[in-house]
Amino acid sequence: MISRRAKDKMVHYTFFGIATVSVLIIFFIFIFLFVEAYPAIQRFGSELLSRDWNVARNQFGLLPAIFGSVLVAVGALVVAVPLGLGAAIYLSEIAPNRIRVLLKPFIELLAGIPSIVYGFIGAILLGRFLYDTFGMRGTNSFLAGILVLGVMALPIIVSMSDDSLKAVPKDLKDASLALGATKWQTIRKVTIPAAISGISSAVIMGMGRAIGETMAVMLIIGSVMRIPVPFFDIFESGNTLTALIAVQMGEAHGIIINVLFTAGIMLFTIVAVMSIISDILQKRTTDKFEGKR
Amino acid sequence: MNIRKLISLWIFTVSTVVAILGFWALATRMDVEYWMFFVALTLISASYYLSGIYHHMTEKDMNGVFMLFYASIVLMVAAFSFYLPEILDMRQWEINARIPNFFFYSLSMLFLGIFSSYLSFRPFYNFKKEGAQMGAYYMLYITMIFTLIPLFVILFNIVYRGAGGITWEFLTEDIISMGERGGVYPAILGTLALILVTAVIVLPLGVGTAIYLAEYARKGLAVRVIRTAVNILQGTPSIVHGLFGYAFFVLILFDGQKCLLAGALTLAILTLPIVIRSAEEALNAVPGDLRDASLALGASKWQTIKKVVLPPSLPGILTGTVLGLGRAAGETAPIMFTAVYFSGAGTPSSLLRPIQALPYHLLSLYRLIGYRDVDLQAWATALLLLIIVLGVNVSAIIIREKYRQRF
Repeated sequence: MISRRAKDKMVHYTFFGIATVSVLIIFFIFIFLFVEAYPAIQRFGSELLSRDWNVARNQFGLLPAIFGSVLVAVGALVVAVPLGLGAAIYLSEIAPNRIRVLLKPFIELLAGIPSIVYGFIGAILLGRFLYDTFGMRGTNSFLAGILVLGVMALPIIVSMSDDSLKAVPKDLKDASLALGATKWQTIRKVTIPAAISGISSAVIMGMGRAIGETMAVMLIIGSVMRIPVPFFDIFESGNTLTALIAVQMGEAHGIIINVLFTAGIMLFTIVAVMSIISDILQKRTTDKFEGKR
Repeated sequence: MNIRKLISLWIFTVSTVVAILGFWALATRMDVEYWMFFVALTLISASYYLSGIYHHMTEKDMNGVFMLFYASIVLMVAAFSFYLPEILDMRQWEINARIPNFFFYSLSMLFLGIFSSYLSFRPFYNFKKEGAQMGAYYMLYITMIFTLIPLFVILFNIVYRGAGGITWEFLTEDIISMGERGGVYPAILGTLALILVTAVIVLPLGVGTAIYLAEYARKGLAVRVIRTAVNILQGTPSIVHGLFGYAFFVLILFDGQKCLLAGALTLAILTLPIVIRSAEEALNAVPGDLRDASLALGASKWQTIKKVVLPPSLPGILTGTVLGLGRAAGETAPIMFTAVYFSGAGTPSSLLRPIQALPYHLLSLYRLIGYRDVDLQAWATALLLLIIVLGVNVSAIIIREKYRQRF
C-alpha cells in the first residue's frame, strides 16, 4: 500500500508528463520536417530561395511561393482588418446585449465553415465572377484568393479584438466619460489605445491564418510558380507555400518531396514566430490591466 | 424637425439608396450606363450643395464651405467619368485585367454612397460632436453588415445549389463512375470514424494537460514552455500537420500505408490546443473556495480534482472538445496524405485501413468538374459537409447553454 502522499506525487507527475506532450509534438514536428527536408537543403542550399522553379530541369526555387504567401496574406489583411475591427468595436462597445448575443454565433459560424468549402465556393462562384468582370486570362487569381482569405481571417480578428476591447477596465472608460468626452471619443482615444496590443495580436493571428490556409488558396489562386510582373498584378494566378505543398505532394517522388518539406519548414517557422509575437503582445495587455485591478 | 435636419435626412436617404443600388449593380454585374451613374452622383452632389448653402446662410462658420467643397468633388467625379473608356484595358500596363466602365460606376456608387451618408450626420447634428459619434456608429454598423454578408452568400448558395442533390441514394450508396452517380455513404462513415477516433486520442491528452496547467502548475519555466508550445500548435498550418503526419505516422509507424489511425492521430494534434484551451478555461471557472473546502475536509489534491473540480467543469470541457472535433471534421489538408482515398476504400473496417472522407471527396469532385458531370454531387457534398460541421458546432453550443453552471 503506497502512502497518500506518494500517490498524490505520482498523480502530479503523470499530469506533468501528459502536459509535456505538446512540447514533444512541437519538437517532433520540427525534427521530422527537418529530417525529410535535409536532402534538399544539402543538395540545393540557397538555390531553394531563387525564383526559378522548373521540375524538369531540377530547379526548385521557392521564392514565387513565398512571395505569393506574403502577397495573399497582406492583401487579406487589407480586406479583413477594417471590417473586422469595425465589427469588433461594434460588438464590444455599441451593440446592446441582445444583439450581441444574436450576432456572436454568426461570427462563430463564419469560423466554422470548412476551408475546402470556402475554396469550392470561391473557385466556382467568385473566380467565375471576377473572370467575367475583369476579363482576366483565367478564373484563378491572387485577387480571388485575397478576398476569400480576407473573409476567412475575419472571425479570428473579430473575436480576438472583441476580447481585448472587453478586457479594458471600465474605470478607464468611466473616467473619460466623466470628463465630458462622448462615447465615441472615449472609444477612439481611450479604449482602442488601451487595447492596441491585443488588437495587434489579433491582426497577427489573422495573418497567420491567412498564410497557413491551404485548401481554399489551392483551389482559388491556381498553382503557377511565377512572380507576377509587375509584382502587384493581383489579377494573375500564382502559388503559395501551402498550395505548392498540397498540389505537388500527391504525385511527387524523389527530391521534390524533400523540397516540399523545406517549404513546410519555412511555413512552420514563419507561423511559429508570428504566434510567439502575438502571444507576447497579448500577455502585455493582460499584465497591464491585471496590475490595475 | 427643422430644415437643416430635413435636408440632412434627405441626403442620407439619397446616399443610402445610391449605395444600395451600387452594391446591387456590383453583385449582379449590371451594365450601369453613364447617365444612371451621373444622375445618382448629381443627386448626392445637389443635396450637399443645398445643405451647404443653407448652412452658410444660417451659421457663420466654415462648415458650409466644407460641404460645398465635398459636393463639388462628387460632381467632378461624375463629370470626369464621362471620359472613361468603355473598357479600360490594363494590359497596356502589363496588368492582366480589362476593367469595364460599369464596374467603376457601381463601385464608386457604393463607396461614395456610403461615405456621403456617413457625412450627412454632421449637418444633422449641426457639426457638434454628437454628429461625429453618430457618423462613426453608422460606419461601424456598415462594417458589421459587410462582415456578415459573405456568410449569408455562402450559406444561401450551398443550400440553394446543393439541396437538390441530397437524395436517399446519395446518402446510402458508394460512389459509382467517379462520382457521377451513387453517393457518399462510405465518406460519411469515414468522417464520423475519423472524429470518433480523434476524440478518443485527444480527450485524455487535452484534459490531462489542462488539469496540469490549471491545478498543479506554478509560474515557472516549464509552464511557460508548455504554454508557448500550445500556442504554436494552435497556429500551426494544417498542411504542416499533414506533412508531419505523413513523415512520422505514415512513413515510420505504419510502413508507408495511409490509414484511419494515422489520420486520427494527425487530427488529434490539430485539435489538441483547442481542447486544452477550453478545458483549462472550464477548470479555472470553478471557484477556489470549493477546492479549499474539500482540502480542509482532508481530501487529497487528486481526490479534490476528481470529485470537486472535474464534475462541474465537464460541460465546458465537452463543449471545447466537440468544437475542436467540428473543426477536425472539415479539415482536408491533414488527412489527404495520411488517411484518405477518393474511392475504393469502402466503409471503415479497421484502424489500419485507409478510408474515404467528405472533405476529400469534395476536393476530388471539384477536380473532376468540367471532365465529368459531377456538379450537383459536389454541391450536395459541400452541403452535407456543412450540415455535419455546423451540426457539431450547434450541439456544442447547446451543451454549453444547457449545462452551464454559474458560481
